[in-house]
Amino acid sequence: MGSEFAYEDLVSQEVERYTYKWLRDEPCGELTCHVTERYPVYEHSGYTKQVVWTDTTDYQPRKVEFHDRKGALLKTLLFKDYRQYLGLYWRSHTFDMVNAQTGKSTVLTFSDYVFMVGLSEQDFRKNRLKRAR
Amino acid sequence: MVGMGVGLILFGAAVPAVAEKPAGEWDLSAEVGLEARVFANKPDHPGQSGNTFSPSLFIAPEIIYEWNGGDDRATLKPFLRLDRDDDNRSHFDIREANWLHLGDGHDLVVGIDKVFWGVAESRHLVDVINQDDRVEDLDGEDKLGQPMIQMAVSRDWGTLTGFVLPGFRERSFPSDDARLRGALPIAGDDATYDAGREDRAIDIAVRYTQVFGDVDFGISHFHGTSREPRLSVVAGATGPELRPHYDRIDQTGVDVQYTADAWLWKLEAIGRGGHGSYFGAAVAGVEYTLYQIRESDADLGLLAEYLYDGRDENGDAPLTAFENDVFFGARLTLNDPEDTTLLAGAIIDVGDRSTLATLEASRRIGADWKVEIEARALIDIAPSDVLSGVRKDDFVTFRLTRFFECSRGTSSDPPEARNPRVDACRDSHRRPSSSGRYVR
Repeated sequence: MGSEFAYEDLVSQEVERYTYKWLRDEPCGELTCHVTERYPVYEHSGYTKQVVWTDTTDYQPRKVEFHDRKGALLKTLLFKDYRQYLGLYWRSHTFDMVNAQTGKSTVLTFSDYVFMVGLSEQDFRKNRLKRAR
Repeated sequence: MVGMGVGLILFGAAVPAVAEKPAGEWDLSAEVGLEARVFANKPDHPGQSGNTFSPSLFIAPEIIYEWNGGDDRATLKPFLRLDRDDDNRSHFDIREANWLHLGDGHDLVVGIDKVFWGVAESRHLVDVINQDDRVEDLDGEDKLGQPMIQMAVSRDWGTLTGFVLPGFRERSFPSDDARLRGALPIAGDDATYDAGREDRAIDIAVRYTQVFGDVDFGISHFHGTSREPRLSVVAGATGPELRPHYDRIDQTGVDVQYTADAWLWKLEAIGRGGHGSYFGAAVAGVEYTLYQIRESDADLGLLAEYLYDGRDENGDAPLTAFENDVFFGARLTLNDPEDTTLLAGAIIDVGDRSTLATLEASRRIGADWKVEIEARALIDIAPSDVLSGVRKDDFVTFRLTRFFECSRGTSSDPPEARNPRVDACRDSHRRPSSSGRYVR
């Protein structure tokens, strides 16, 4: 809705959502990255394939190229400004999406992450979610 | 008024000593709206106002206080409408005044609240807790606040909710001299009841819901005073009038929705006893959504429903317009930043082809305004149809709403934890809430 991000881009990235092929390793900035192709399993996906750069130090995605239904490069997403929380969880604070076909871009910035806020499984039941504000 | 009083007493007694825990969060917001109804025809019945153009104003503030990290919440939502032409439509109601407590494995609500049950679009059969605020609109989507004690227990096997409903709300009806009141004036103040204690009887309800794979299932039972009155003709001071009577009923309801990709299959069915013979009623339908039509961001939903109601038509049961009808509808959401939505629908009586048609459009303007247009038309209404009393009351509503919001933490929050808007109560970007409309 008015941005370069589709719902599909923002849902949690589960391993079973794709099939994969490793292409090569190459430098990415100061790090080294695995470059892999992944193919969405979901038949109504907006993409035929995605190319992902994952760094070999912290195993976080650094760049994703999205290819449209005709196989052409559609968008490039850069994950920037990673910080680690609780010594465990890496979070990128800037998602920079550029549409290669239109030149338009959208930047999503995230801030004020707070962990261990006291949520339990109960809070994700339907009756609780209806009351969430 | 007794109903509201009971609700406020429940609310006041339930909110624990907030002063003991000062670190909470306030959220204040309000909607203020200007409305103009334009009637297409001259009135059909003597005594009704002949004004083509009918303005009104409404104010709906919302005050929320949360503490204990959101485990406790107090909500107050009063509502006021001032209508130039309909004295009954000028009214004040407390939509919500309650304390919500999210406990360990249970949720508790004490006070006045609004509860919605159901999956169908054209008729909300199983939705029995709140009374219709019938002066607000024809579609039964606006409700009066209901006092209650509600306890929900949620586990892997589903959610079980119990309701104790003290205090009854009588249905609101248009004034004698207003449009949309029907063929005869309604003596709302002279309502009678089955229950000896009238509107002080206590009603109870229970509901079980669970999701089974792609199926959302709900079953409920209500025992108490029917929210639907039976309107009987009586001799009034100035001629015949309708007097409401509220029967004691038992109603069992089932609501099911099956999701299959872009298809939603829906069913609502009730069995009700207490209005003469026991009867059943149902709404069954389907909704198909075309997502992102023609490479745009817009979604188009297509709906079709069949409505059946088996109640006696000999006067033992309240009249209904939906005994054998079909509904067709379409909903177009542009998914643009202005949240532009268009809705078109018609309910057609299979027997006499009487049709109630609706057209609605809404759009936001900037961060703080929303404009809406709603048209309701009564087409080819047969003289014997329940809707014949309002067949000349086709109207279009124009509505302009302004949204206000301010929220702040309390002074005991450390500076770095405060919301940037703390201590500043100013207009800010806010997604307007749907005013009473069922949101999926």
